[in-house]
Amino acid sequence: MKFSITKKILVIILIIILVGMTLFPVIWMVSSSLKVDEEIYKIPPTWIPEKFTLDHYSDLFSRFHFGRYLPNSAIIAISTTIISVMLGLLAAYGFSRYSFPGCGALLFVMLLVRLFTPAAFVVPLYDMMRWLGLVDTLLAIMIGVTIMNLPFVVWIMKVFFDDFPKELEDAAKLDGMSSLRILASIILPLATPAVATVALFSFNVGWNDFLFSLSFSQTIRSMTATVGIASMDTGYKVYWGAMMAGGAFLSMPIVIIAFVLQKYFVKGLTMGSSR
Amino acid sequence: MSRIRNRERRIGIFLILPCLLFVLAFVMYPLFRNIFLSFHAYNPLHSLETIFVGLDNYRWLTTEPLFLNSLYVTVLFTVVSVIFEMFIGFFVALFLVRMKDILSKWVSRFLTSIFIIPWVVPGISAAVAWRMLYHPTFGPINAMLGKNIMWLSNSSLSLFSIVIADVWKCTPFFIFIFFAGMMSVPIEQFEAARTDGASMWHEFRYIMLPSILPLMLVASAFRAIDAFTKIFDLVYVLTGGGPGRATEVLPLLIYKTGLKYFRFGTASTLAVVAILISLVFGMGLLKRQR
Repeated sequence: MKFSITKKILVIILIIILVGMTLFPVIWMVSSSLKVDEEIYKIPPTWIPEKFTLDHYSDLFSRFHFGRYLPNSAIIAISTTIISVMLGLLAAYGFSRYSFPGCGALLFVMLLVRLFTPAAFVVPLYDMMRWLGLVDTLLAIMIGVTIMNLPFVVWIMKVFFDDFPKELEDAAKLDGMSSLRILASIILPLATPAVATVALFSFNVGWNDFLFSLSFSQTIRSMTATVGIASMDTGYKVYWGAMMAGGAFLSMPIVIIAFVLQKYFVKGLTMGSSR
Repeated sequence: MSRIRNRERRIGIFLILPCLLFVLAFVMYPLFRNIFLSFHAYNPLHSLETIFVGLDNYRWLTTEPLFLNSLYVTVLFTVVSVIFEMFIGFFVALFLVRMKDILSKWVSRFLTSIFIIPWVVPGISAAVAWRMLYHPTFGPINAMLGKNIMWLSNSSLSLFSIVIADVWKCTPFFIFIFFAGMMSVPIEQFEAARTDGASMWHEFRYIMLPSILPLMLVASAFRAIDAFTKIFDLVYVLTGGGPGRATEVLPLLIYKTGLKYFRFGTASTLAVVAILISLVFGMGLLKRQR
């Protein structure tokens, strides 16, 4: 197919507009995070800082406790990933290979969790955590996030196991291998892409969580970076520079991961809905 | 034989047990606790006693405009934002598929990396960025338009401002799904149509649209459920539900009633009703998926 020069130029202009529309909020956030305070309030606003400063980033750690928040966010993201993937993987394999009474009902409940608003879990869980003395702990937040992650892992992995060729397993069974060994040494090595996708999804949900962290944390002991950023609006004053720096800082790891593991992100995105 | 089957069953249960216990404790129990509390008055700030009130909480929902307003706001937000996202996503994907021959592989990869950014940026980061973009005096949007619009504090505009931010964040979902769907529309059909002298419009109307339509419906239904149930961060940061109650979406109302005013009975009732609403809409969809 041949394309004329004008058509090519038109396409390039359209692409530039699309890219601009996609990026401008992020560019604004990063640029504002590098401005000195006077420039933040300047009218008309500038897109490129006249004077670059990293003060807002150092403020994150010196004034806004990011030294505590970031490890908390990381612990929640990593622990919910480990728990969701471990429990979910075993269960998905069980659902796929064995049947027992109540198995269909349990799977159905897991499917339904997707339809529930996470906010519906906040009140009963809070009550439960108060009862267990777990309010203001990372464990409480981690449990809340895992409620959302576990069903997703189970469903995606169950579909994967259902499609997995049974011949390989049968051969191993004849050799006298136990089910768990078959899972560990034959199936899992082949399941790496699927596991990577669900792990990435779980990590993302944990790292981005705001609702459960907001609900269950009360002191910096268990506050995550998302709540820390939101609290830079104190009601009296908004610390714009630090807020933008925090937003950019929080985005950084996940955007880098998305660039490197793009394939899995896109797969996870399409898997959830168009299965 | 039956001994082997028993053993097999034991392995199965053993594999599922950890997950089962988690679901029982942290999914099933909270659900039943919600139902239980919805028939009770329970305000843990005053006393830890639950007082049976029958259907009072449910009656309160129908008489108090709080809930109906919130339901209206949430439904409006969901419908408007999903329609925008679907249309923009559809045309961007169509554009990318059409221009596939012009764009080198490198450019396509670059565009994928760009378009995935809004989708993976944490909700809170997107929310604070948009909050500053919308700022009436030193925000760049008003500066570019040369106007002085109160994006977030004008009650007839604030929900639409949240929709715009959500459209920015979630349109990539549709771009990627539609792009994948359109790529799998068999090319030969296009070629055949083209030699028959079919116009671009006909090609689109009779080949592309029919083959992509089922995907469009499923994807937007899933997105609508997510929008309805998970809209929280954006509203919390941008408007906090205000001005007045103009953007008080259902998840935010449940959160506020529960953990700000500690009216657990009312909050649980709201949660039960919210769950019932999404069940009614979601069940049909899930049944079809299976």
